[in-house]
Amino acid sequence: MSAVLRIRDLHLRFPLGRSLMDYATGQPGRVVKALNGISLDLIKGEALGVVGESGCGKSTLARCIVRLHAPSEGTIEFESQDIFGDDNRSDRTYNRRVQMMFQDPYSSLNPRMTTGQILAEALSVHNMRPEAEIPARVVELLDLVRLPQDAQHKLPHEFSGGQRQRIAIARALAVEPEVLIADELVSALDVSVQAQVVNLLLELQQELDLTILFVAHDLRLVRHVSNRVAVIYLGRIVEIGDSETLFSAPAHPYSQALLSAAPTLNPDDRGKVARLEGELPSPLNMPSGCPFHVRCHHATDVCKQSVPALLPFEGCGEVACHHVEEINAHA
Amino acid sequence: MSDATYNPVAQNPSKWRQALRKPGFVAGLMIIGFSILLAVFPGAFAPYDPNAIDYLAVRQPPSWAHPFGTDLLGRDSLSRVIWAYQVNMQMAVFATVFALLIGVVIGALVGYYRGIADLIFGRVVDAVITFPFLVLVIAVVAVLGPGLINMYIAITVVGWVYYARLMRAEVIAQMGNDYAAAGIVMGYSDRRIIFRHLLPNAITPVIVYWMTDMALAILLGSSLGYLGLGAQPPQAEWGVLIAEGRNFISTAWWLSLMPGIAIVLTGLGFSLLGDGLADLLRPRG
Amino acid sequence: MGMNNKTPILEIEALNTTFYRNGQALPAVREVSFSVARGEVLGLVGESGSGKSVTLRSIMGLARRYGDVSGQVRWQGRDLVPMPDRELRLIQGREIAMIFQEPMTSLNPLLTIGLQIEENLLAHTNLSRAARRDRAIEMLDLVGIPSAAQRLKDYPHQFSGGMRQRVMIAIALAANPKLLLADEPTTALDVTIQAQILDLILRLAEEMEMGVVLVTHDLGVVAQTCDNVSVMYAGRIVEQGPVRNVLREPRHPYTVGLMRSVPENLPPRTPLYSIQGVPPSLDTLPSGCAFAPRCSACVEACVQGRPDLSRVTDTRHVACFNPVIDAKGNAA
Repeated sequence: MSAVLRIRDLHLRFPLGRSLMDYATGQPGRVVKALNGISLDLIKGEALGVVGESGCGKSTLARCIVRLHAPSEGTIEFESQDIFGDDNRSDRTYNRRVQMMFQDPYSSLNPRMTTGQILAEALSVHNMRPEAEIPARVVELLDLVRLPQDAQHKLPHEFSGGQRQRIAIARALAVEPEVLIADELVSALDVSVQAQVVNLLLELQQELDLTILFVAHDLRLVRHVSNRVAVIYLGRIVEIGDSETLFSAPAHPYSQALLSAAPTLNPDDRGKVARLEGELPSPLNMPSGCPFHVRCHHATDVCKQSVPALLPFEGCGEVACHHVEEINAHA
Repeated sequence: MSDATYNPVAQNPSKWRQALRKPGFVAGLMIIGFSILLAVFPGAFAPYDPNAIDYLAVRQPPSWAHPFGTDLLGRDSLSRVIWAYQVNMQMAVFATVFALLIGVVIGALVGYYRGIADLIFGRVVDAVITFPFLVLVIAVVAVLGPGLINMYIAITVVGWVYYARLMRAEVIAQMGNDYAAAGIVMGYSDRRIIFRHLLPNAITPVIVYWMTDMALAILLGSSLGYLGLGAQPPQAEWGVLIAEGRNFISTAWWLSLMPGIAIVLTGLGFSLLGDGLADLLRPRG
Repeated sequence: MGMNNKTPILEIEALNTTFYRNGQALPAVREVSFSVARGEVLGLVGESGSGKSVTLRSIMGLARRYGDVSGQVRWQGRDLVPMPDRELRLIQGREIAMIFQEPMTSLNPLLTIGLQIEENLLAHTNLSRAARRDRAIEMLDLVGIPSAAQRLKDYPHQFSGGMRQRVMIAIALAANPKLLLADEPTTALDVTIQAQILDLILRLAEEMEMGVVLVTHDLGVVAQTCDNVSVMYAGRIVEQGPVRNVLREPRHPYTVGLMRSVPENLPPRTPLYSIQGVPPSLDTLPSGCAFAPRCSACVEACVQGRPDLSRVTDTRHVACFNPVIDAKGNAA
């Protein structure tokens, strides 16, 4: 088991509107703390799920990995090379090997290019095939994502949401990547179509030996797709571990609340919800100490003062909670 | 297959058919089409030599022989208005096309890269738009001296800012779409993302503005001609023609009226064309 | 389910809503019938384009501005469909209230929320100014907004997404309506907030003896909140009945497919059951059963004709020529 991507202590602060005056005087301006020290290994061949509520930083993390954002601190290593290092920053082979798929099927494809043009562009920019073989490869790619051959002549608006996501997958696969980042890949789709796309993703992972980072807010989907799961709260990992263990026995109080809030199909589960009070604090003014303490039933003084470290907890992977032992002893 | 150039005409034949059902767009197309013909082949349409002086037929009112009458040197007004198409249509193009090209490129770059260049650009925009356009152009002409070429330079120096501002806003809006992010993730060069992906999607409002701007350029060019800062007599140019008739407005009204109508008609044509193009160029879905 | 014995306050019969686009008729809602009693929570579930939201808007008299609405919407004995706008307005907001998916866009950003609650009270009650203010505070309190009195002066943007949805509920319920129409009220919210809002709606329905029609695409939400459910597909109800029965023993292949598309109680990373194809578009509906082209249980009759929604047990209705008999769609 070797890590393809090694993320270490990643921080990202978004400045909020810096004026020319701020630049001149070197003022930093207000910042949104989107990521607050995320460390993570993406292991070859695995599907790692990342869950959390909107604004928790899960999409930001995904975008950092493909260099859409540059971190304020910390490193991301790919084959022991810092992808933000001066030598590697403009290395486009990294982009080829680590690909991303986006949430909104209506905006992730250029509306003025046909499917064929979209795929051919990816193939020719990275010299994946000699120019003459590109048309044949386009057909192969469409076939790979179960789209008919004549799809290549159509514009994005002629497809349904699910079909567009297939095109986006085909575009990512055109450059034969090793790692796929799927950011809410199916959350904009109807339930029956979601299943088709998830099945396709799982098949392709097997077939092409892909490593996947699956970012989603739908816990049932993440559980289904992932081998391992990381739960993120306010830019920090609060729990990470084997998917089945984490979902059947979450250790962190936030993971517990998150899981029990997801409505199941069984009407007998009514009222079994561990109610979580309050809402996600604004990342503009983060609470001190454990970021979850303001909403946590188990919070004590120590939670307000110091940030708990992400530490191994018996059979559960790693948990960042001062009281993890007491909480899980009660349960 | 690898040639991904976008061709709106080939891809949306039915959109053209739809557009051609709109009377406004058809009228605009016809007016501008005919104006271009007049500008390219004035000799074929003008009944007389525009500079042929005839002292025996000075300031004659419109007649069958001279439908627009004659001017103070006995020249045929219709012929002069037609020959002026050459100059005025040239103005519409040359006074705008460089501003368009420069503005589109700078606007796209600033919108894509943002950062400190964008902040500086913002100040430039503020500075330019707080001055009346005409005053700025006159100031530049005053420095460079009158004449058509200097007028084009003056208009371009000021005018690109408007195109750039529009392009920047549109590129920023397009950047909000994930296809731009997808381009970055695919490892495409900035040049490809800007010019192949963002620009075709962002250019529509700029093209529409360009049509209106060509109408404004004709208006501005003839204003400068009227003031003696643009085309110089004896060149036939609508502003110059209006200025020549200025002193005879009560006795020989046709001298100023006919070139005035030409200005209005061409302006209308460009506006109608712009409206139609807005619908035509918008992507579907 | 004792709910079904109560007399219904809302009875919908053979509701049809048709929109027109480029001269073409789009059958958005067809032959929809159901009823809601006081205190009952009815789920309308379906995918995009199934007609669930249009049904809600047809009840509220919003759809008739954009298309044709026919059939009967009987509200306490009176038919709302032919009712003139002027009369309908006395019922909208006062007796029947509605909340929407996007709390940000359905609140006026320029008015304080206190004003927006009082506006509703002014339109629908005879309360005095002071009484309206008290009622506004009471409503904010009721929906769980802390320090309600102070927050009356705040604008919508000063509230988070979940709080905004609470404010919207407070506005909707201020005039004490007897029926709440909720159009995907939690779709834009996170699960922890969704749970809070659904709880709130349930609690208020019980306390205020209010009927609720909850439109959602999430069968999980239905399972956790509703008493009865109607599953919609391509503008028609395909299955109807008490939630427990329907989810335990779904009869319509579409309901089965919808339930099995949800990865629950499945070995991880195994293929999910998936309904082939995509929901049909309204301008190209098949002449037989609209689900037939995607249905694995499709028989000859399904292509030939359209099955009516017919009674299978006392409380259950299914529109299918070849319904599922065993309980293989059961999640439990």
